Amino acid sequence: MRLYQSGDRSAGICETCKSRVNTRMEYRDYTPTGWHETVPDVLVAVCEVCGQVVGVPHQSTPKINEHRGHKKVDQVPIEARIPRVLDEAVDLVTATLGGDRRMIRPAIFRYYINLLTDNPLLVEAVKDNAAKPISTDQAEGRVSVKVLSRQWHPAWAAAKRGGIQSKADLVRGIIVLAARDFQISFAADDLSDAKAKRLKGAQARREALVTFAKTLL
Amino acid sequence: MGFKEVRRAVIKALLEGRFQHEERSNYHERNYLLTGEISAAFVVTLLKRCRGDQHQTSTHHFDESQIIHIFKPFDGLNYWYIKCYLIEVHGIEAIFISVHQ
Repeated sequence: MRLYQSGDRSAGICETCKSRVNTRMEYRDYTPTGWHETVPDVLVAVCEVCGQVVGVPHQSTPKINEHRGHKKVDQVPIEARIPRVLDEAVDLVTATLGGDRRMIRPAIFRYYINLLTDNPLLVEAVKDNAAKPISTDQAEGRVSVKVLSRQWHPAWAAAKRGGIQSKADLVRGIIVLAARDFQISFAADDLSDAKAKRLKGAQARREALVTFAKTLL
Repeated sequence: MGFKEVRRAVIKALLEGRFQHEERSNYHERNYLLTGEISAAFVVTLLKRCRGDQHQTSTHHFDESQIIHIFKPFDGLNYWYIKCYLIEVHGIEAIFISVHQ
């Protein structure tokens, strides 16, 4: 990962000079176009000819984002009724990860929902899991989670392409997948079918979630 | 450079952190990647979903020798608009002008 530092040279196209110019990284107060707020002390690329800001290196984004204000975040609420045993399974995964339940529980769903976007095999596994008897038991529990809409829509499109019919099926399938990844066994339902065994990456997903959860503690 | 080659180069620049954002006084060139509303990883996902017929090129308004690439991938609900160019400075860097829906 390239880290730009003050004094580094680069290039860009200067709007003031109207040509390609050499640039130099400097710390400056910077007002993004269309903003009323100035972000202090940000690393920017400055034109070596006219001294105007020509560009902003990627690493300055978090500082800029911090000053974006409390704009409303576009989220999609996902609500589903689930069998109580699956509710317990999510709590067991949450307990394994540790930390604040109110933060860890939604993070588990968001993590798996994000994975679905580019992984048809995972979508298929979620779909199969949602059809298992343990998922179709009486739904006495409830899941409510908000997901960023820009993350939800591609994931839901991938899920629908893979044949998942409802958000409830998605949620139930994800819980069974998470339970499997965390080696939780359901006494009433043997999940060790051959197809599921072929699904790779359980350890990688588990480790990624453990690492992610630590950042939320 | 063809579509796949350009896309590969832009994705590589994103993954290696070799990218910047162009300063524009034109507010219509919204850049959600600059403001942190979306991540580089999300733009990589969008670019991977982009087809050849969703890519077009033009030249930079201030430097006609600079080719601008416009990608318009579909995320399942919305079309995205990703406008950038590649420059050679100690390796290839991507400069993003616009990233929005």
